[in-house]
Amino acid sequence: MKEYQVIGKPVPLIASREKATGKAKYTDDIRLNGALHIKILRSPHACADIRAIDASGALKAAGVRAVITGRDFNHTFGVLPISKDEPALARDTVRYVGEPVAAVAADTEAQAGEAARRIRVEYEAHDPCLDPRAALLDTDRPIHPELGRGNNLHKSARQEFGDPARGFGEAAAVVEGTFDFQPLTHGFTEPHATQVEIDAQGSITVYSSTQVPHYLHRALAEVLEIPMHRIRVIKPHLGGGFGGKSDPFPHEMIAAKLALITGRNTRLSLTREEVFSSNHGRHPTTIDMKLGLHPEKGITALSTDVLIDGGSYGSFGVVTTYYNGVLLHGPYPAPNFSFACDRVYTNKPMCGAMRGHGGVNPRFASEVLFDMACAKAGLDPCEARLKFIHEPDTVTANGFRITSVGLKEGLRKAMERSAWKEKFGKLPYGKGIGVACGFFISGSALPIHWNKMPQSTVRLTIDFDGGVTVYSGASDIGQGSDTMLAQNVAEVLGVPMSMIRVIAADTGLCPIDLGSYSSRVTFMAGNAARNAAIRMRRILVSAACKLLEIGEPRYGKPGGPDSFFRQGGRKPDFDDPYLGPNPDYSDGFEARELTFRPSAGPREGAGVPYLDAVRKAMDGHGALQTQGIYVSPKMGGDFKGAGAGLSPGYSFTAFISEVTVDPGTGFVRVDKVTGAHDCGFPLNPLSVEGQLDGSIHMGLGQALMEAIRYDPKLGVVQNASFLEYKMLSPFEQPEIDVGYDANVDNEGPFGAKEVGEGALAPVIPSVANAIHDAVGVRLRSLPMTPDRVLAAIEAGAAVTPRNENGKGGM
Amino acid sequence: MRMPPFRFERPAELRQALDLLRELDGAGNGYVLSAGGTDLVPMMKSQPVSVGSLISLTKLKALGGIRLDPGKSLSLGALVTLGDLSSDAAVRETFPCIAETAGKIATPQIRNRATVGGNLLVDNRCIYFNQSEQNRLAHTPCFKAGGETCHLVPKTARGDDPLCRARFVSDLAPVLLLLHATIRIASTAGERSLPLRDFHLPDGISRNRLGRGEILTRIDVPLPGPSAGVLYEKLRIRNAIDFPSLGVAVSLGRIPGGGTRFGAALTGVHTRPVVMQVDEAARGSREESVDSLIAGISRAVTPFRQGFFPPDYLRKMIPVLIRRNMEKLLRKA
Repeated sequence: MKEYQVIGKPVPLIASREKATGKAKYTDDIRLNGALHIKILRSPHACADIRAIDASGALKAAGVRAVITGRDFNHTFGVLPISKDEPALARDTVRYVGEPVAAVAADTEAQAGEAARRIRVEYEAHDPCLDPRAALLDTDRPIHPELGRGNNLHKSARQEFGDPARGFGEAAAVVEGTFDFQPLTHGFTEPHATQVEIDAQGSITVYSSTQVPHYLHRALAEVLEIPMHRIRVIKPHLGGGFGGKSDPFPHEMIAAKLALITGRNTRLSLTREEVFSSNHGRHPTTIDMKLGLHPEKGITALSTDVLIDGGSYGSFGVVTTYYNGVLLHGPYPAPNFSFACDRVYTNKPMCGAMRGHGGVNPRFASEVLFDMACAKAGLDPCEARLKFIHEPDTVTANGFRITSVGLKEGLRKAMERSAWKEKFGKLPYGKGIGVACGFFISGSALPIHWNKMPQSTVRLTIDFDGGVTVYSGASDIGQGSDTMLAQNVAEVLGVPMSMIRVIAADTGLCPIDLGSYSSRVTFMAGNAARNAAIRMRRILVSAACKLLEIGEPRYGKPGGPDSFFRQGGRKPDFDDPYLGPNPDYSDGFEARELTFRPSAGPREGAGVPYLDAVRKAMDGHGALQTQGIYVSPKMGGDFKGAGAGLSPGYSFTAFISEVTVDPGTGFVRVDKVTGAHDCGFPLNPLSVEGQLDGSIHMGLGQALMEAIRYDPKLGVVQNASFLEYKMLSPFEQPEIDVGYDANVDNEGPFGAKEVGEGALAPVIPSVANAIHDAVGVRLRSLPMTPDRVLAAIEAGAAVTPRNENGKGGM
Repeated sequence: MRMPPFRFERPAELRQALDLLRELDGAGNGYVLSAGGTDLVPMMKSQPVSVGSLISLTKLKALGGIRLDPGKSLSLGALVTLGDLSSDAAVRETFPCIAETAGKIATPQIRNRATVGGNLLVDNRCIYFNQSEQNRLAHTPCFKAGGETCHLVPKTARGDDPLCRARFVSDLAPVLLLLHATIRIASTAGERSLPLRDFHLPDGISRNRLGRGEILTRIDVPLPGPSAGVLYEKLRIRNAIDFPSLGVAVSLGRIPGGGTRFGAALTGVHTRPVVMQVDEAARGSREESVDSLIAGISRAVTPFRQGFFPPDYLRKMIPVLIRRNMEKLLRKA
């Protein structure tokens, strides 16, 4: 393994000191001059027509500067160009409890709140459609009549590969089940906030807690009907996203519109309850899945039929619809595969992307079924998984290009560390051990706005002081992407982290990046940063050579074995016109000493200080500037939905969970999670461990307790607070022992792949499988709450004979 | 989230505080009493209407301190924080169950502020009432919110007792009930004391017998307690933060003159805490006594939908937790 200076070392996040001392400015901390406070009036109805809005009382109230309603906007919006179905303020109908209906800008927050209470809205309420099954039925009041459908279907996806019927025929064990999943919130710490600064020319700077400044930038221009160059979007420090800040939001449109109308700066911050109303969390889902397993052939067939409840608007839903199927093409091959997924609209806050987007729920179903099939076929669940995990450099049935796979060794080690062989099936009643694996994308290969722009662009500058500034459009949402960019640049240039400043997520200064979602930033923006640094390095090397009066080192040709993307030495399987040659580090630029020392030739060993090289390069030229980009290779098949789930790299995960189940109360305690995650080469072990711990924590929340509860008749959220919406407390976090052995991916920056999302999904089925090992019952609904576990034990005790450990059969 | 403006008063002496209450009552002005404020402040934030005056009790020395009168009683000032209560040497020595129970309430940060008195007076909770202004707009207002309906029991009518089924959630109450605690209440008319078991009312709105103009000052726990002690176990999905979905305290003691007395008290599953005792002598066998205790106390509570756990499950857990903890006490005895 190559030894690096910065890469692969545990580097504290560059903002950690600021955040720990409270100095970091989040959006709500910004103080703009005389900013007007905005209060949004929200619908108390899940489904109603707006007959009239009388804002006269509010307009007369003290301190009020403006009141706006749906009539003030001409365009709807949405993160996906194919479902721009959401208004900034409801126009004629409201579709969920909490939908914004009007907004007030006033001198103080209290005045804005008081004025909002004085707005009279006349509603004609209707029975809401809250049940996703009912949403498939014909209705004369569809939630989105503009689609011209007689029901509330939003999106249908169907795919089939191979011959599923034949595949099930070949299986030694065929198992099936219905799995049920609740709606979830992301649970980020910082509620959404937006502030808008307006200048004398009417240009606006929008400070917002967003994962994707670029998508917000586009949506603002369209909804406000002003050109993009008059809008600047800045993401200040951000307190967690998890997918919940990746869409453009109504409150962002509202704050900007009110700034344009009043000519005044504006500000708003959502309450936690408003965050629940805005939702965009995990879709409530029902999955019917069937899996056929053969002891030698692996999964012979997999079929799945999924219904997801999208709530009132589209959001990322079309992607979610596909992800519910396509992400089942790993971690094992499934040559015969059929998949159907319907996403419906209901009168609830919209669902969207959430950590592990669309892949978490089907992973639970498939990994529980895999376990059941192993039990039926008499296979050890770990050994069977080991045997059938994808081989590197293969292609899945639906055309995913599987490149690096570094899981098998990790899972073997995890089996040893957890003493799997001594424990599985052998622990006393109430104690259990279970395994599950997962697989996730390292960035979506296809941009959601179809164009040929690079997915990431990073610009570097070095001025007279020698400091390096990295400009990137990527959003550090707490996951450490700024630090990752700095590490890549520091490693290539050989300068310490302290000489690097990252300016990111500011559309006025930074090149476009498609933002922080789909676990794409390390792979894509990281590669772009590395590429920019390599180009900068060549400039410096060239200057040093001039000072030493020697010729420049020979660089390889693009696409050659030493090209930037090909550091692992594998032949490229695609052409990329953007990528420059790679100096291959044989240029003699020594990182530690910041000097240039030729390793051969007449001036061997002679040194040029870094700053001398910088200044020489600036002669007659000025500040140094380079740009690096990332473009995904071309990949994928030619069929409907072929683009969904395509990624330049995939992560792989395996978890072995150990649980204690109290058979008297049904309480499940997760004692330990042992496992392995293949994130390629870990750029920053500190970040990797943080992401793994966080994924397990969040996954266990969904496994054991999390669910948004809606009033079944009114559709109002009943637990819109962190007291009543249950996320794990530190007491429930298990001991964690997850390895991430360096497995170099040939295309990731320094060999890295994703670590932010993939590890969430498999922890959930590993717990379900451990519960089965402990007490002999299969849980098919999440969360696996004590009452459900107890009910399953009671039902199971009546029908399942116990083996010598008191444990059930399949 | 901002709360509506209110007047803030912090009297220095109990007498001043009581006079102030009488004055406010006389003028028809609203007020709330605040000790740690951990229950009160979230409620104030969710209400659109000002509470009037907030009277902070934190300076009142008469309400502070833990006093042990060996052989006679342990006296807890209403303002003693749950944190202090959980770590106090005298409490740990005399009634470890009180210290342990206090140490399991909410979170360390909340225990640093929240008080014993506040825990006994904690407002009853309901998934319909403990909501924001925005949430409540979606419902017709319930009795507790000044309306004319109960969403848990829609056929409730004004005049029914209870009118409101909001559940009682104090963790300390069941333990103190089994320890036969009495409470002291001060008003301008003087001090009165009453057994804790007579203090709470079966209605989620009126809740207890603390009247206008009155302040809970101390809780007295007689010594010695039940010979084998008291155990408290709370059922909740997380081992921190959460109110009890169900709290079960059990006690085991000797009856003067021979025989065993089994006690149990519940919180979280009814509008008030419920306590019951059964004497073994009267029942013949130990098992029959515990069965009869379980049957009796189960009949006395009505768990409603409270959020996380279904009522059926909570009902099922009452005997499980009583038996388990009683067995622990029996092993100890």
